[in-house]
Amino acid sequence: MDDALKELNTVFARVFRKPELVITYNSDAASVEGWDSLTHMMLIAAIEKQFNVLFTLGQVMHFRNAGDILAAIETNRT
Amino acid sequence: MPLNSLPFLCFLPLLWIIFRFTPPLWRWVVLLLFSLLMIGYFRPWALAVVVCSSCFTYTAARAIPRKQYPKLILCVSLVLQGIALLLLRYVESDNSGLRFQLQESGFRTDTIFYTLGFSFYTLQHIGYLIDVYYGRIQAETNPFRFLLFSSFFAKFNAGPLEQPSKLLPQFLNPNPVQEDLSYGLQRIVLGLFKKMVLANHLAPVVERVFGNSGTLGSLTVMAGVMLFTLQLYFDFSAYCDLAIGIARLFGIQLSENFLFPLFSDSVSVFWRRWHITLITWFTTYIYYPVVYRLRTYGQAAVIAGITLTFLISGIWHGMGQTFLIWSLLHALYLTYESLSKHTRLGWAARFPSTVYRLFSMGLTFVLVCFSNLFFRAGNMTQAQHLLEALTQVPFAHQGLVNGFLAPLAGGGYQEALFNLGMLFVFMLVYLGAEKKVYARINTGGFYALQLFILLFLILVTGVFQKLDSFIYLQF
Amino acid sequence: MYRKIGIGLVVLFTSLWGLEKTYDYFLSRNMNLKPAYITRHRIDADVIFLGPCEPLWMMDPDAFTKVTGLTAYNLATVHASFAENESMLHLYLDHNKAPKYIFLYVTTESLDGAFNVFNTYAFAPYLNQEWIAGRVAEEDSVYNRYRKLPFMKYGFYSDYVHFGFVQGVRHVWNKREEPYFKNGYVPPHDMVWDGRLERFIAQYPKGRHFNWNARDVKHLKAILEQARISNIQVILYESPMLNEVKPYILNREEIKQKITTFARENQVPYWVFDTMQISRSRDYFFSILNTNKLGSDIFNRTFAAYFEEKKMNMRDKTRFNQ
Repeated sequence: MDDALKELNTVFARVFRKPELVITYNSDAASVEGWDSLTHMMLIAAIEKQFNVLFTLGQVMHFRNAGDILAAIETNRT
Repeated sequence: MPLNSLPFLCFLPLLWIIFRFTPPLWRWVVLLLFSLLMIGYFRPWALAVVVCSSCFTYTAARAIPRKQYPKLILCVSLVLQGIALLLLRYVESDNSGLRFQLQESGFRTDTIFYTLGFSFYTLQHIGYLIDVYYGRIQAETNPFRFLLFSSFFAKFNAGPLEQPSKLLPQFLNPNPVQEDLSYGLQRIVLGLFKKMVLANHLAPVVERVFGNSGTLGSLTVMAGVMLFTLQLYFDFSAYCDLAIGIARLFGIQLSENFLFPLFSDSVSVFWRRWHITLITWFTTYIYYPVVYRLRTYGQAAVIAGITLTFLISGIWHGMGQTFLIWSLLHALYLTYESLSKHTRLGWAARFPSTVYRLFSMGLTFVLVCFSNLFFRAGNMTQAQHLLEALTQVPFAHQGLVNGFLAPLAGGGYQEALFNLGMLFVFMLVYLGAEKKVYARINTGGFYALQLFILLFLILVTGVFQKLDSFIYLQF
Repeated sequence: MYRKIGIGLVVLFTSLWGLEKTYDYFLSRNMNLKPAYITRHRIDADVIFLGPCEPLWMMDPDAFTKVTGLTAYNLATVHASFAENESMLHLYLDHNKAPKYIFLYVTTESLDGAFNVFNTYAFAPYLNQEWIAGRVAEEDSVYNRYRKLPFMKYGFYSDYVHFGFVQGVRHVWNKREEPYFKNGYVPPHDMVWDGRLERFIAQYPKGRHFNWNARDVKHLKAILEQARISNIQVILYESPMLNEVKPYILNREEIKQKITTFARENQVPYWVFDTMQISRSRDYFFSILNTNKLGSDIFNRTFAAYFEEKKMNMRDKTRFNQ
């Protein structure tokens, strides 16, 4: 697991209060318990804080899985 | 026009033949002409309104990327659409024309008045303008195709609300194959069954509870509220089956609006399965933008988003106290679920999963039904009357038959109870088999036995008089 | 797929046709349904009570017989308009000896057009008879359009026929020849206050003007004509109504006068029992126009006695008027 994914994993684990949670690039709302429209923005806010980035609304609404989030982090950093 | 009305269903095969023999690139024109004809035939005023609204939205969408002040154009367009949507709450349309009545509106049981389908395609227009502004989609360049997007007869009256990026491309070259015909036919018959056998039989039972100004037992009111939830589900999902089935005959795929919501184990799951396209619209254009802007406030942002979303949803349904309470109740349910997520996960871990799931499903159904008491009550007086009845001791004055069954059945005599019993049997059998029925249709196969059993039941037990309109046509 | 659809349609229509014939058979043998009973049994009553639910739940043939010695049958049916009354009478006369008297209930709402209906489904098993088919075409044109399709003559009003069918099967199975209510009268034992008065007042807080509907008048005349042909004396009557409702019937006197004039012009009596003591109190009623068991017993005695008195004063029918 690369570093960005590991770091993202810690955020997921913290937001969803599951220290044992392990995510992959394909992890989505169906595979991560607790990830839904009610918690999505809280997750996004936590990720923004962790990675020191800002996502646009359009990006946020189009995130389908952890891979999309990581790609957006990469894009926003550059 | 009701999708199960005989004139419409008689026109349909004729239209299909004309459609089939039209070159694929021109088929959208046939669909447009038929849509305008259908709207104009049943509601001439609605035709004028949809044409004007579409022209306005088309022009605004084309102007946004090309003019100097795109944000201004968007804001003005949205404000005008929003005002029109609000004012529309006070406008009714019947055979004699339009009427403007500035009064509180509650749930309507008379089927005379329709609100022109305006509520639905206006939301589509608002969403379309926002998507064009944010560059998510390109503005449609053909005004007549855009008009078809607004007026498409299969979904004109009450949705499903479609994303333009999903629907518009389908109009370019619709080419139904045998699988589409098979699927469409089966969905249409399924919809007719749910409407004419289940929903139409439930309507008078529900009306006996909600329309009763006399003394009702608490169990009768509870049953009435639950039966209304079932009626609403069967009625609206039947409309969607018809819309999806009819569209599919022409090679157009519309979005699903229901995914077995009555078996949801939480209110948030319920809202992912009930009137999906409407809640998706509210989530996309209201909830997410609000929560996004306030995301640094954590849970407070979620609560604000939920409350605002459901308040607007309540207003969209009607300008009345009952709809307001309905929407606030759901906001409360979802807020509670959001705040208690981890606690509930803990509870779930402590009990056998089947027990917990059944309990959750039952509780969710009860909560939804309770909110529907307000949704269905025409005004606060009626709602209060029913709430008072709920506090009565069961069977305090009369026994099981006279105190509970007879008010629902319309009498304690054998025939009334027989009909009520038959209805319950049909409902329970259908609900038990529903997932399997849909699964079969969705495999793409043609299940003739299932189809003809449903047709047989429609013709032998369906309600053919008066109730030829759908509940959601009033919104 | 098309082959399956074709086969399916053939099987569907055949099944519906077969089911229709089955319903024809069993509904016409359900002895609790008046059309079935009167067409399969000789009743040959001296007196017929005719009308909607008011006489159905009020006029006791046995009570009438006890006082007058004349046999009686209650041919009234729920919610029935004059068109239905006429059809029931026609069916009765096709299979029974003509009675001497018909007592036909007529009140303010009888000629309004909005309160009673022609219950088409009751005549569905008899649509092969031309006059019934004609009456149905006249009274229920929407039904008439669909009834020729297999089973649709029952399917169109399916809620009103399924139970009758099941009951008919039971009656045939048990070889039952008598209806539950043998003389057609349904006693109002279990009828509780139905709230109709409250609903009427809520709907018309300032009262209601009742109409004089030409169609109802036409059917009323047709009943009198049928009776005249069969040499039957018709007596129109109005049983007591609850006094509480009278202020809300804004043109009651006008309609009453119109009915009286109509009766005179057609040379039939019109007996109005609107001054009886029982009209003052809900203790004798379960609805605006319907007496409960106590009220019905009192009225039946009064009515029979009144008939006897009127009859005693006359030697021939031509002078039998109010």
